[in-house]
Amino acid sequence: MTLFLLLLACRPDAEFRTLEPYPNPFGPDGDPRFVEQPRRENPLEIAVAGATAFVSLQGSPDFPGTEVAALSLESGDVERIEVGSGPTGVAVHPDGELLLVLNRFSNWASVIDVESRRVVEEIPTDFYAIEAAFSPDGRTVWVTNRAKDEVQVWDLDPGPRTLGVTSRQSVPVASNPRDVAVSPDGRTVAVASPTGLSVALIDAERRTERFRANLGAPANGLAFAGDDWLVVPTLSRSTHHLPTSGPDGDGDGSPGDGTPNVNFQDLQNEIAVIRVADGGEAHRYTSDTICCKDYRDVDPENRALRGDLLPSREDWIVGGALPEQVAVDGDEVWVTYSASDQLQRFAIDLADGSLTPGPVVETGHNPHGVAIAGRRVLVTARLGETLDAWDRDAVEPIGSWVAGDLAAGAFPATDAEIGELFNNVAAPFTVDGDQACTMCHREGGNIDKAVSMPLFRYAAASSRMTMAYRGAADTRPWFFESAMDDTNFRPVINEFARVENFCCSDVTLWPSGAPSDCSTNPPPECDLPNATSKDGFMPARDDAYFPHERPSPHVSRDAFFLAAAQQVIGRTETYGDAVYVEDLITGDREPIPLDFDGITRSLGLFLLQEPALLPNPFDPASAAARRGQALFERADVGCSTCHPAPTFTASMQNNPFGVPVRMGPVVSPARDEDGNNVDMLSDGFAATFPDAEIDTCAEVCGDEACAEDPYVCDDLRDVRFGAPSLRGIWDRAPSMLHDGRAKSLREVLCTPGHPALLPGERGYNERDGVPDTHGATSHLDPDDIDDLIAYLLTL
Amino acid sequence: MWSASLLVLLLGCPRGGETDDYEPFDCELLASDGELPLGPLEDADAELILGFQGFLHVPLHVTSDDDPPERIDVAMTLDVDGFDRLGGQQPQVPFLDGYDEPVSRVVLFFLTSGNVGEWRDRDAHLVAAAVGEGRRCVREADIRLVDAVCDGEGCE
Repeated sequence: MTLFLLLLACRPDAEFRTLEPYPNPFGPDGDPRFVEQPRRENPLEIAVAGATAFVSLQGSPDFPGTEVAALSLESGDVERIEVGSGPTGVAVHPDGELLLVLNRFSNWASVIDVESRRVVEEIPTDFYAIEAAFSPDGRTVWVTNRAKDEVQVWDLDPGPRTLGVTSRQSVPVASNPRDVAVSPDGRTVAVASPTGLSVALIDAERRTERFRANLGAPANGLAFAGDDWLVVPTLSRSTHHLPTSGPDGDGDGSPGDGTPNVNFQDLQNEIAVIRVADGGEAHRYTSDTICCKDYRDVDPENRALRGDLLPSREDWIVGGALPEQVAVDGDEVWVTYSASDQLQRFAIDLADGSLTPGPVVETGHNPHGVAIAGRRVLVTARLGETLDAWDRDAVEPIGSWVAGDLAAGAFPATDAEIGELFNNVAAPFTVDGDQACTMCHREGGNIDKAVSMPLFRYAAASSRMTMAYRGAADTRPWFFESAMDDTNFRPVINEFARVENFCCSDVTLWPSGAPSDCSTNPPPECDLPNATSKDGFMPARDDAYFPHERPSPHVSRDAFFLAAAQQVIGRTETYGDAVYVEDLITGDREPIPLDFDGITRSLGLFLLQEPALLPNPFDPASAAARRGQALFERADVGCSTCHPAPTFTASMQNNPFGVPVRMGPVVSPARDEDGNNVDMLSDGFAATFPDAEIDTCAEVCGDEACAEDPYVCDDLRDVRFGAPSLRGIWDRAPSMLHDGRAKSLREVLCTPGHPALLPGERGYNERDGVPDTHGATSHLDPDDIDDLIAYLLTL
Repeated sequence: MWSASLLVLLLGCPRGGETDDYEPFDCELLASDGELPLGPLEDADAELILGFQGFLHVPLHVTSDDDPPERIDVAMTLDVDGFDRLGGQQPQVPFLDGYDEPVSRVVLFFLTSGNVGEWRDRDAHLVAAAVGEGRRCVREADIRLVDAVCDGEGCE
């Protein structure tokens, strides 16, 4: 036994290590847009012990923080305490003497003595320990692990300067678990999975999952209200809606899982109240703004237009965008809205779990953590770099401290930071004020959901899997269609504020164009409600006229964006350090307005500047991974041809084998009941984005047949897809392939009927019944498939 | 390759003679109907096309009899009286077969501001720089923006 322990202690993997960030290909060598960015600390979570607030300074994946800030709520003094890399979760032991800090990029947790503010213990962990919650008796702590998709329970025997971990046990949960909470009675543990769209309710004594509450949307945070209710900030469920074809993403028996109205406009911000007794949803509250003309096939006032699918009006009480974190004390509930820089107080009825809305107040940029300290409510501004306090009763600001780093000036201080701000706090730039990029791209990743998009020929009948946007600089062009990059992805931003919402660009109002002086001298028509949109999703509605009030007083989108920029950023043009217009003759550069184009370009710059790839915790030197790599690179398997290292995609930046950057589908196209290929792109999209290649009807079936019916051969036509990067696939949502049909890497790799498939799994490596069209794997045995997966997880 | 050449170009060429890093090549700009080239762009009508999601754009092509690069990154500016200068870019544009001289696939200059009524029938000055394989061509053209659909009669 002694020898065994000695061996364990001496094992190299028992040593404390820190994961290093991926190298950033977007750098000063050869890339004139690269600008060194200010150091930021990104204060995240808060734990309060007495009169001290401890704040984790997480940093970013590219520039991780290594400190916790200790702020005296009495004096305002701030002290920094060195911990591991990427400090994330912080939790105070119930005895009030020790603080547990989880360092996501280091394989140890730091324990800080609250009084002396010194690290007194370092506890070995797996990488990506994220959040922690102590049991009320202090004898256990529950720790989520993002990489292993599990929550661990550590048994404790606390001593004077140690938590005294005695044993550990794991409980599997949905993908990428983050927040965890223990009920006041200590009987129930709840784990939220933002990517996995669910909450696991775990029996604390038996250490087994009792219920899985499927939210159909990210579980962003959670907090118990008494022992009976669990309050969960989330987003719209979006089931039973378009698209009408495609994989049943959430197992609800309906195909597809688009937003209710297909476009981003439909994304709602919600708060669910879950019954602890059975895991059922007692209440689901939604955004207080549901608008407007873009609500094409859902009208809240009209059952014929699916208004009955919306929550009733009394449930429209969620006053901000992207409910992120929640704190509960008695019957008070506080929710941060990270995408709209807001904080809201609710009251919860502990008898039935219902919420009553209270005031909404503005916060610093990108509020995240929220905690209650006496009569104060504390909130971190993750991008604003501050810890801010409000009086709980008056809901008025009573203090603000710099927890992070503002040495380079207030955020945003560069054009890339403008893009970062928009990425996270986009809601003010959206016509109903409540959408953001980060709603689907949580922390730069992807949620486990396919969403219908407006680029399809059969607009209501198809979907694309949400994609992670990490590692964007060297994997251009983007999206499955590989039609866009940082220079032209404006259709994505367009969905937040479509042109027809603004009088002067409303093509349904002005089919031949608005008057030339419309912006400066709006005609009377601009004072009237707008007409129903005629583009979009006609199969889902008729031609009747459904007027809606215009959602914005601005008659042009640019005016709307400029006003939002002034409100959020405090300026109306770029800094010009990297986003500018240049005289192509003289080289003179000028900043550009922060209108639609300026904001879009700033966001594109940010996506290049911040790869945001989470450093990989899986061991590439393991025997299985090395065998898998050999298989991956073998010619008769063929993975590396289209997914070549180091980006693991054939992109404009990396294509050693010279394969087409866009190619026909390697798996069966999605087809509707009539056999139509519903992956097809609309003609308008293809014409406006020339890189989006698509077979023409004439190419497939000849001029004569297509002259009579241009869609006659849609079942035979193909779009072209890019090869998505495999880098970072270990952290992605489990659903894969362009429409999310595969539910695991195994389903992606295996041909139909492959012996490696587990019960209930289906192999998708086939096209129209022909196997091995997505690499050749039918000749591999199950151990080979396991090895391939082991390797893929190391990328 | 893309990032370096595109970015130099779109954001654009370095100041003060640093364009010497490029070898020049000859090129010309052609008007377009959105798919096919129509003729020289200089002093020509440039069609305003209302595209996907209502995005207005002006199509054009680049042609060259000077053994052009296989693909070009194209950066553009457009000056119209009364408006801020607009910038645009399109990377990795290939040249196509089937013409007497190499002609690029259509290049789209997007006008993300304003509406067709504001841009219609205005005179504009377009500058385009094409870069590829270490070579660069810059061309200017005075153009008139015309509505591809409406001929001006009763358009307002």
